[in-house]
Amino acid sequence: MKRIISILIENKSGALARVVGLFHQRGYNIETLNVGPVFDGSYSRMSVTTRGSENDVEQITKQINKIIDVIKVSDLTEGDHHEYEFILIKFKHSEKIQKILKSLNGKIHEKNQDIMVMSAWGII
Amino acid sequence: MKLSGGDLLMRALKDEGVKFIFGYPGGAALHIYDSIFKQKACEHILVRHEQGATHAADGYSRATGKPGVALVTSGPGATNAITGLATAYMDSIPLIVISGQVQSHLIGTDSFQETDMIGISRPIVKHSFIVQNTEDIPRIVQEAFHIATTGRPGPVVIDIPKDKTDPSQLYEYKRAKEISLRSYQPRVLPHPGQIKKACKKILSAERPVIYAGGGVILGNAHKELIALNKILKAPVTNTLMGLGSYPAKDKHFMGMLGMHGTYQANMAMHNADVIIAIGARFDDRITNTPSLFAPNARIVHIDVDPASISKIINADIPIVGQVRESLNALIKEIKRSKIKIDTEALELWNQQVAQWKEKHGLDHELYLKKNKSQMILPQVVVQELYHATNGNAWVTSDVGQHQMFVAQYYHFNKPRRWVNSGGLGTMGFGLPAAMGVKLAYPKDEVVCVTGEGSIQMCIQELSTCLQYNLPIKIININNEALGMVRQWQDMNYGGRYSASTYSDSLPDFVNLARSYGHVGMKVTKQSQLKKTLEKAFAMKDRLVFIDVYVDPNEHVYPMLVSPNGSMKDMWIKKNTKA
Repeated sequence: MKRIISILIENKSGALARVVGLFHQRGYNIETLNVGPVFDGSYSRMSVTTRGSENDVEQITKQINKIIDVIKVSDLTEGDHHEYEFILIKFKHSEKIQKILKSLNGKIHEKNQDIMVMSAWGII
Repeated sequence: MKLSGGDLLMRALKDEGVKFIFGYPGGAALHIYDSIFKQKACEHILVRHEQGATHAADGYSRATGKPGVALVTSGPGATNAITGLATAYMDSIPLIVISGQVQSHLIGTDSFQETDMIGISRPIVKHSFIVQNTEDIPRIVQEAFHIATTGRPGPVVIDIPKDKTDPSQLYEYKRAKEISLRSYQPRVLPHPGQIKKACKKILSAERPVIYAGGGVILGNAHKELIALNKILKAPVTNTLMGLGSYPAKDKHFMGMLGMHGTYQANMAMHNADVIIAIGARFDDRITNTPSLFAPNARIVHIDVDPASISKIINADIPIVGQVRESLNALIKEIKRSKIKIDTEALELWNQQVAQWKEKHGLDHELYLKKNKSQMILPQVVVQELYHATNGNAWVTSDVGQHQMFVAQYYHFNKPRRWVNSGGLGTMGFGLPAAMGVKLAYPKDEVVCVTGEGSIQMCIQELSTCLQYNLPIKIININNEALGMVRQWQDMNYGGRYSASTYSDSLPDFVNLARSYGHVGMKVTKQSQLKKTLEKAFAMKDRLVFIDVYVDPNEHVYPMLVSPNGSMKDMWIKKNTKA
């Protein structure tokens, strides 16, 4: 089943590679990954989605916790959480795509003869 | 006084109490080597290959409990250190590897002797640092030693670009009083509630087994383990890494368990109702098929690393904590508890273990018996070695049949005396590791038991032994074949010895030892064995290489049946299952 893991980590060179490498080393796969600096900029927050059984995820989170640069790991899947997906899309003029995106409260950012750039977000 | 990066490094190592650095110079490390030349606190041991440096530092660490330090240059120096790092990582050994790196402005340009050491070593280190500012060197060294030695120990790499040790750039040396990292709090005390539950489970057991691993040695908890079993009087088994954590001479000791464990230890594990796992990680060489493992046992698992708990075998009562603190808490709780041990059941259980031992236990008196074949049995070599050294030697080994024979037949009564690569199984480990041990304990007897396969993987270190006068005794159990490979080929591949023999191309080890300036001896008959060992051990100040020709057809038994076997399924001799 799909899992969302949130990781608070030192914002240091190489820290991200340690987490990403670990998934591969332990035989797990990352589906999506998002990273950015948080708080005073000395921390980063990683949000990772992966697939695995409860045991798999327990082992992943334990192993991530062992990385020296990692401060906190939480499996968000189990508890209350909000889950959204955001899309920024560039496409050749298409009424069909524009209509779909509009129905998702999509916003137009750029429009010319050939292409459009739109964004949309929503609950998966 | 302001210091250069190289001098800052040496000062920081001195303040960590480092006595020896095992290393090999090269371009990117030359500023550091100049700083080594100018100081006296740390003695540099020049090895002949960087793999030797890492294993020697590792051996020093295993024997003393203090972190060993290796220093290598960039590129090939760094990559040659990788096997040693992986060896230390698998056995949780505190090891510091300092690698030179090309100058900062050349990083990423494929410059001469450049390699991404941090990237290459990432999966096999506990942590790694690259020095970005020279003034950080003292803090990084302090943090590296802190991380390597606390929690579940492990190797740490410090990668230093050459410009960060530039002798013309000087900085103030600062040492922090205390190290605290916001992302690393290694000290974990056992949860009192879990200790209570464990106590209850253990005291109501009828067929308990203590299964103790390398964590007891790393955590310096052997006294606590003995104290615990003074109360429990349960049968005890050690993993390959745990040998010595419980005295082999104790009547409750069953010997090693697992793939080549004793019959009684494996049977006891399979039939136990409570298994008390202490600093052990249910490795695949222990459990055999996990789904068939100890079907009726409840598992109490004490480990400092939460990731080791319920990784392979689900723990019913997990206790995360330092082994020593956890055992102390458990002993206290047991003494306080009103639950009475069922001594009658325990007595029956200990009798059962004794019966198993009687039935298929190891024969520790093979050396007294006449051997039908004319050739020396490898087991006899270890038994004779045990008697020649009164069981007091520090013994290192390489990997293969000889390693298992030492584990089975040399009785280790003290922790740290048995130094071998358990997790990674690194051939070539034994000789350099013995150098590290001998430097730590120059007055003690240090023996490297090896095979003619393994010894050739780091044999160049014989030269280092001459340079630093390290009178190690090397017992080369020579069966003219890669014995363990051959055993598997006998058992699983119809005796087709694919790439496991080389008898007509082996060196003359006696002359080889001599050409390195040492003493070489050769033994082919059992009648010569005892005398030759006595003669060798009488040569206190010489390295003696004893080449012992043994029966090449001998296998290591017992051996767990796999695949699809449980711990009770064993080959106990050729073509015979228990």
